[in-house]
Amino acid sequence: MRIPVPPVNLYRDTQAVNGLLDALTPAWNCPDALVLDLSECSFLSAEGAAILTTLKLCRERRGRTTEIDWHTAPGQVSSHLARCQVAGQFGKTNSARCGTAVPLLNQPCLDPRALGEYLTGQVFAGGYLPAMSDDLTKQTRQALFEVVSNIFDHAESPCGGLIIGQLYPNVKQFQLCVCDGGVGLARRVQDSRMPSLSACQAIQWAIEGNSTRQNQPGGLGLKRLRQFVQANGGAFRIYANDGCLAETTNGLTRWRLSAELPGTLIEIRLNALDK
Amino acid sequence: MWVRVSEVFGVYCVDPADGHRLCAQVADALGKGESVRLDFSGVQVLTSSFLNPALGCLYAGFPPDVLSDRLTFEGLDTIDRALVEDVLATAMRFYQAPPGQQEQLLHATSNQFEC
Repeated sequence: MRIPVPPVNLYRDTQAVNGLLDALTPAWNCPDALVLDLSECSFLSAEGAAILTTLKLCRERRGRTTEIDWHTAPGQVSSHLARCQVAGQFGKTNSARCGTAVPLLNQPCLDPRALGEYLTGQVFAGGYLPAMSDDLTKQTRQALFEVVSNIFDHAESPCGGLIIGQLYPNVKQFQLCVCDGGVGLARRVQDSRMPSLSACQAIQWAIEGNSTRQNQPGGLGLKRLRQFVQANGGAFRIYANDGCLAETTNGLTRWRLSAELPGTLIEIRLNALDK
Repeated sequence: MWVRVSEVFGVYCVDPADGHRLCAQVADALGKGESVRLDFSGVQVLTSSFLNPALGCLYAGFPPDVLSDRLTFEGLDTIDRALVEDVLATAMRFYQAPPGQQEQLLHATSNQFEC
């Protein structure tokens, strides 16, 4: 099977992830070898790279091959995938230098030490962004650990969890995308407690401090992530199943996706300088 | 009982299974009438995924006044202290709510919009 991958540029098209998921719909469960054609893919954001990598890793766990036809990849996209260490997942050599890309980290199981070192070395190390305050560093670290540990607690993801991001030196911001190929946050909520909620409603329910656990308190991870992002003046998006919820300083929006993400993608964008 | 958390569970306190282990230790000591002091100095990352099972679940077995009298914390900076207080407040609300009430309230909240 050969699938053309559309561009994912959220600055130009806020619905771009939806387009990618539309294109990938037949790919998640297809038993045939899959080739991704990037000839139309003029730009691939970290969200796009995270989804493609999740697809590849989930298919790999099922013994299915997934390749990129590198002859079709525009130079800019090819270079970006090499810098964020995704190219190596698809048989191409990664770049020795990441530049402003925050490279791929895949954790098949939770490895807190590796996650801590990754954040220290790739996000907080400095060079591209101003030195962050200790509080901001600590809160970012805490938020990421909450999100990643949620994957291993709730998602049942065959590929574990992965992180990819991007530093934006000009605007002094950084972005981190955490993705898994599991049940999906929305479906988890629907299945456990709230079958009548749409995926968007289920995501909102989850960020309001509620938990799918039946017999013990919980639900603070996403609630506190949201509070932290709001206080920072940053933004976040959560894609899960066929729902998406985004919050920026302009408020909260949510929309239904026309195709499903089998899993959850949480993208946060933070200011490197405290407000 | 005094527990230096980082010595038992390491500097990354994120794993719910570790939280359950700490809860069992604390509950055992409280059940014997002891006071418990948890020292978080040296912990680099503390998350609710650890604290919910470690501390929140204590409210299932002990009244809030017993816990506030006999369970104390040290070695927490401002950020971690806020997290611990959030976890404790959430647990108190959870275990004090009559069965079914929480779910009804939350369902109403989330149905306020359409998507």
